[in-house]
Amino acid sequence: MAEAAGVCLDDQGHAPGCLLTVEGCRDCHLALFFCSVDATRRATWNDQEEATEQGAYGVALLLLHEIEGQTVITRSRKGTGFDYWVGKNEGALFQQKARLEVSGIRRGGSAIVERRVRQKTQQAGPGRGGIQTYVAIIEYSAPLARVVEP
Amino acid sequence: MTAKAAALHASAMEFAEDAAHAAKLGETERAARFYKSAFEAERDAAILFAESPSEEPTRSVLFRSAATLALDCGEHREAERLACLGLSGGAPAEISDELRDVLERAQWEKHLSLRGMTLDPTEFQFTIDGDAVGLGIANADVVTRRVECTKKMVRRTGHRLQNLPFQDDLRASGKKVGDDVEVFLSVPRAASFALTFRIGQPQLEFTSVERRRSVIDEMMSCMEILQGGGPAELVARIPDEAYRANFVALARQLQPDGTQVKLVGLTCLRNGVERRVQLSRQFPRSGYITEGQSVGHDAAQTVTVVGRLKYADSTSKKDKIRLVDDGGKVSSIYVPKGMMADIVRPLWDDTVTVVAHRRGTQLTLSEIMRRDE
Repeated sequence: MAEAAGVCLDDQGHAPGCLLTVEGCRDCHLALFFCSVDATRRATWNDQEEATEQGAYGVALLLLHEIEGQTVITRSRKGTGFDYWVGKNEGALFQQKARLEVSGIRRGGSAIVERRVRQKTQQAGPGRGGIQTYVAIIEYSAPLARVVEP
Repeated sequence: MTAKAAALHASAMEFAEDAAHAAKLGETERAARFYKSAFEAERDAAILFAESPSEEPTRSVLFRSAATLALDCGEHREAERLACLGLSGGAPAEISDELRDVLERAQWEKHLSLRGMTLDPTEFQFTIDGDAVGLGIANADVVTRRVECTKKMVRRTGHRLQNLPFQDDLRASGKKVGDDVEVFLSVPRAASFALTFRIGQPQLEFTSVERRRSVIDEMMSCMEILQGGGPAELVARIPDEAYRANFVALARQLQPDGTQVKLVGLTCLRNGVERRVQLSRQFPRSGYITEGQSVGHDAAQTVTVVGRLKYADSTSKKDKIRLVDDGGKVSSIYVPKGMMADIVRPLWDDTVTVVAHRRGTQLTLSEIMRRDE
């Protein structure tokens, strides 16, 4: 995930230490550090959609730890991928944990980010069953992270 | 119980990750082994909570995860059983919905089954299911569009296997090979809604049976790649860019929309064993068509244009269309080879949504659909 995020950030002309603008749950700026990106890493992550998505998970997971004190507890299998659950590292498996819905955008303006937030919020079906959910949209060109709790 | 369940679950997720990685590399047998181990560990973890209906959402999440892994390794009956067990507790609403989705997917196998029908080697069953489909009856537009797509896919696959160069005009291309890839349809039957396609003449000629059979096998293999393999595998299978762009675009029109149509499947009979392939999920946009043909879909370079398709030009070096929006604004979009006749032409004069790839001021079509779809 970290490698994928590095490839996406590098692709958008960013260097390690670039500032990530965080909006939503908390408004702040955080420095992003990532390994140098070479041809091998680019080749490994040449599937743009996968790199964008996996990198977004990496950034979102670190971010939630930083701003909300939430740690990745575990994953579960869902559809064709994984579902991530975050929380404090205590209690049984998924009890009192929050779900994390993440989406990555390689390069897009605020309208695209907002649209994606709406899509993901709708998809997450906020609060119907009482499960806390975070939606995190990571945009690499700014770079920007929009984290909301629908 | 919790510690044991947590250990089993952790092990299941490690196996599942290994499986996903192996699948990505095209190592299908290795992936299947990992999925099996992941399923067994997750099932055992879930069963520990079977009698603890108050342990939610842990109980239902584990059952959903185990049922999904059962589907991943082809254990449809187990998936059905585990999804039902998950639903029998006090699952939160969102997890209940996901368990019902798994249950629905597990039951699709039943729809794809031939149910005792015999198909000869040049035939395959086409099955469709979803909200637009009842038992033996279906929305005509939904079915006819997909039947049309399947017919084109059969004929294009046949021409490709005979090493014919891609020609936009399917009829002209077909004349060169006679009626070898002519397509016939049976009457529909309830399953939820199924038809039999036959390739070739109503009376079979023994000499070309193998060739016709290979068309069906090839088409199903390519669909399996779209569902489980990666772009590189499809590029290796269909090296010709025009044929590949055409196949991907037709498959995209064939695939379920998630509501009206939730399943599109093909079934054939090989050595007495049913071979089934189901298009049940959206495949990624990027990678299947190379640069130059069209897309690499990052958000910066991807634009969506809506308008009425009022102009199409196939006489120049590069095919081009123009869309006119409600305000009269005209957008010109280049069309990659392989897409004009089969994909774009049927949409003439309709209001369409085009997903296009922008390079400089030039737009190249990646996907086109009627606005109501």
